[in-house]
Amino acid sequence: MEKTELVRQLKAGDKAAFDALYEKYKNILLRMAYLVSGQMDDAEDIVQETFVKCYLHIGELKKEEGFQPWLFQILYRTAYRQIKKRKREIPDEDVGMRTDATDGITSLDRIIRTEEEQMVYSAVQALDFKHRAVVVMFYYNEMSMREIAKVLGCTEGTVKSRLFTARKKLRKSLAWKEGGGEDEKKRELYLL
Amino acid sequence: MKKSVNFIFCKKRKEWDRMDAEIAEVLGSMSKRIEASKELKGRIDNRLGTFMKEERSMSRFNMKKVAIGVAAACLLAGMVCIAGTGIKSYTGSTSVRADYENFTDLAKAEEKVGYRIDAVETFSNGFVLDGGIRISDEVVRNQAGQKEETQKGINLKYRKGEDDVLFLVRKLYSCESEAMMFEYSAWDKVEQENGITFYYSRDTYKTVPDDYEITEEDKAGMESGKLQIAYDGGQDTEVQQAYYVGWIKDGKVYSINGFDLSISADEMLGMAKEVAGCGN
Repeated sequence: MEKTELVRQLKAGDKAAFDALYEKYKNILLRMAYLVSGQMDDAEDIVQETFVKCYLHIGELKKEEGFQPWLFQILYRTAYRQIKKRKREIPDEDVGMRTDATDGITSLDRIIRTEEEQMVYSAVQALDFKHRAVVVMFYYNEMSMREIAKVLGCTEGTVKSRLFTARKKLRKSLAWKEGGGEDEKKRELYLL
Repeated sequence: MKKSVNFIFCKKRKEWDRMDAEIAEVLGSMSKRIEASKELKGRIDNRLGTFMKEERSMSRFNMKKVAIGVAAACLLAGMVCIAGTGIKSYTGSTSVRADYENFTDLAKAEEKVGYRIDAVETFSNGFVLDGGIRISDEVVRNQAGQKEETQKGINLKYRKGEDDVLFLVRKLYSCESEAMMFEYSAWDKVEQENGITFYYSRDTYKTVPDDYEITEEDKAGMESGKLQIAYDGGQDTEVQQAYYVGWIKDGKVYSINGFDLSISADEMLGMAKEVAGCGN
């Protein structure tokens, strides 16, 4: 069934439509939540909260076509609050100790398999939330500036500026991979 | 010089593109290893189940709870506003001064709210209109605090000796149904006449200071619907008996409410039947 039809049915209170939309979006949202939060536990909590809010507030969605950006917006707002909450509960220095370990294999071990993945993941996680959110939507969701701006409720100019800053930081973090630090000064100059 | 600049930009562009492609590829391949657990859907459904239960529960309680709250605001505190809380919140506000002083102005009030109501000027047990007719602005909000529906209600205040009662009328909201509102089972007396069901209850209404901590006993009372707690910002706890009789007729929600009254359940039910049987 078409997504917009499912949304229409959900607005009419059809739980089966909600279940179908859950199936369509569960992994997309979980992956976004993981990339933006960096913790599998947090990611599931964020997605759970997102779907609950989606069900409870679907009546506030004016156009069925706007469902996806609306859903993503809920996800990012929820993620922002969850990350802030986690920072209050677990100081930064202890975050590394919380590795979601099971049988000696951490969730990170299951997801990140190569050195390259580890490097990119670390570089993305080193960004602050607003830059990380733009990076995930741009690189992972392959969304346009306009779509990202809609989700974040800001202007395209702000998205461009955040993406530029994020890319600059990512480039710096990933610089050694490109051939060492001696070219770094030149690259900085190019960017200026 | 121009060539050199172009070369630098081209080189930079290629590096950016390479980095973009690499990040996109890495994030994409990493993400494919992430799958939602089976437990996740169960947790979401449990949460939704709890909300839906609360919503039904709120709907059951709201008719009485909100009416008593409005009556408390008008009769006890002389205030103008009261809200029910829960998944949906109901707010009714009126002006301190009556909109119309005399019963003969009821038609004007009906015109203002947009619907006609059943009402009497004097009850056969001696309660008389004393305090005029007020128009209330009623709002139902969702959990996010957004307005879902608005309407105007009509309130009439009656007196007999030391007893004051408030007669409230409003229309059913679209989120309410007659069946849902009367699922609530803790009524003290339920009677039917001419196809209308009248629900009577006498509950405890406890006004508490802002720092009051709800006890287990309170929780049990609130859960059963026999206790209503109101925070009034005062210093003391005051306990009163809230009297309520409610019914629905022609899509309108009627109730007569009072506190520490000296009248019996049958007398209150009689007042309700008197109103319901006298459509003007």
